[in-house]
Amino acid sequence: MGDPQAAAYKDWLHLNLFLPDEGIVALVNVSLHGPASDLRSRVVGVALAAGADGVWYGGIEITDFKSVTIESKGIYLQTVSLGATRTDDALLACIRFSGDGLTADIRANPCSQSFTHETRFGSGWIGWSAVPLLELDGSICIDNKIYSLSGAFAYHDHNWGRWFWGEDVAWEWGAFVLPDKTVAVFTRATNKAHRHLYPSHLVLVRGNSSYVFQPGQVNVSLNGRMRGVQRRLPGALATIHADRCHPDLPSVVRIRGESALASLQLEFVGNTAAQLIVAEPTRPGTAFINEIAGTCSLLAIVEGTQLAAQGSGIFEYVE
Amino acid sequence: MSNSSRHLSEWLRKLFSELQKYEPHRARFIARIAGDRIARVGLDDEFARITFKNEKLSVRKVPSLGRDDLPWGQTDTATVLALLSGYTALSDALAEGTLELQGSTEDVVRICHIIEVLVDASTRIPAMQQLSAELIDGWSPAPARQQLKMRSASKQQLRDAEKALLNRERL
Repeated sequence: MGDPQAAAYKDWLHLNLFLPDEGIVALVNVSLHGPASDLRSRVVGVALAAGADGVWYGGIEITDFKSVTIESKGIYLQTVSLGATRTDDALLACIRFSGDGLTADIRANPCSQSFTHETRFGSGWIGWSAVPLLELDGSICIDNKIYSLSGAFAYHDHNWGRWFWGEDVAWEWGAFVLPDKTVAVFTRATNKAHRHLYPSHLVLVRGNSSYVFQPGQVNVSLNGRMRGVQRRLPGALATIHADRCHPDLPSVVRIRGESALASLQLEFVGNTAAQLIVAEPTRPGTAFINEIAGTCSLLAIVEGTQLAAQGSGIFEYVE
Repeated sequence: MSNSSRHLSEWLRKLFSELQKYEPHRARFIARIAGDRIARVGLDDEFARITFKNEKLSVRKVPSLGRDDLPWGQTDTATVLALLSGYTALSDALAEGTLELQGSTEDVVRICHIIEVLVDASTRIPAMQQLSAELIDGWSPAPARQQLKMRSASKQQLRDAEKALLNRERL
């Protein structure tokens, strides 16, 4: 009420799961697009999981505000839900895309500090609060095979703000999970063509310690080209945007960070990509969120200690 | 049509009427794209003849796609559902022959343009999304999912064979 930018309202909860021993990367996302007062506004729930074979299982549910339960820390659709426990000590997620080969019951317990950032974005702004590392419990069933989540890790964030899909704004974001409770998170805003690059943000989390790299301390290069996108959702929008079925996605991402306390070199190699097509519900406009799942290797020196590790990650390239 | 008692012609009328109600300027735009052309469309064993008169949609049930020169498009419910659920790309449906479009280049382009306007508008019109949800309700994606896996594996085999050939020829 009284928000002059209400038409541009966006809000979502996001969770990535990493099972490196199985070569599995998954994502769960529940989101609100547009103000609740507008009947055209949509609630979107998506859950996807990719294995080493590169096939994406899962699906998408798009519905109206009246058909879901929305709480201050959770969004609950029929096929996918994500929200905090009542005691606020963990995240719970539920996936029921059984027809699409993906179901899961997930508990994610934070084991790192969180950080929050707000910045101007397009015609409005975006807020980002992330918990880079969570320990998982529960199970996930992919194509009739059940995997325990015990010992696996996750990344979580909450994004909110005011902008319209289709504006000349986009971003690059990645979360890379490695052994010994180590995770690197990178992001930077861009324009749609990724020619205009805004300052980069990089943080390395190791257990309870976080090492933040300032924009001038980060170098990123995108290399190679992914061989197309394996799954595009929702299908109707994929059909009328056939020109975007082979986007120019990097197959290798190299990130370097250098600060007084830490230095890192991370190389991410993409294995498979899926594309989520988001349409602005109250006016024409579309964005393409490309999710690239793959493996990563890290070389770092943290407070004098050398690290060399391999893990898995996800890189998001939005157009 | 599976999952529904509506005839194809009724679906088409309903889709267009929702568009007229919520984005009438786009409905008029579709009518201008179609002009005075006539087309036939088939879904499974149901067929309809479509034309516009004074920007008003006219849809009639017909027994078949006919054998004249009118442009036509045909597919089946399984392909439509696989497209809507992201298990089949439009290019794959066309290449595999599960979706066919026949007509002059201009007719086919105009048919595709109309579909594009309809689908784009549906992202802002809940009533159109509800029609799509009714179509999908009760459908099992398992066969389409299996087909996607096989198609992906087949494409990977082709890529591997191509790479092996290039390596053999030192190219």
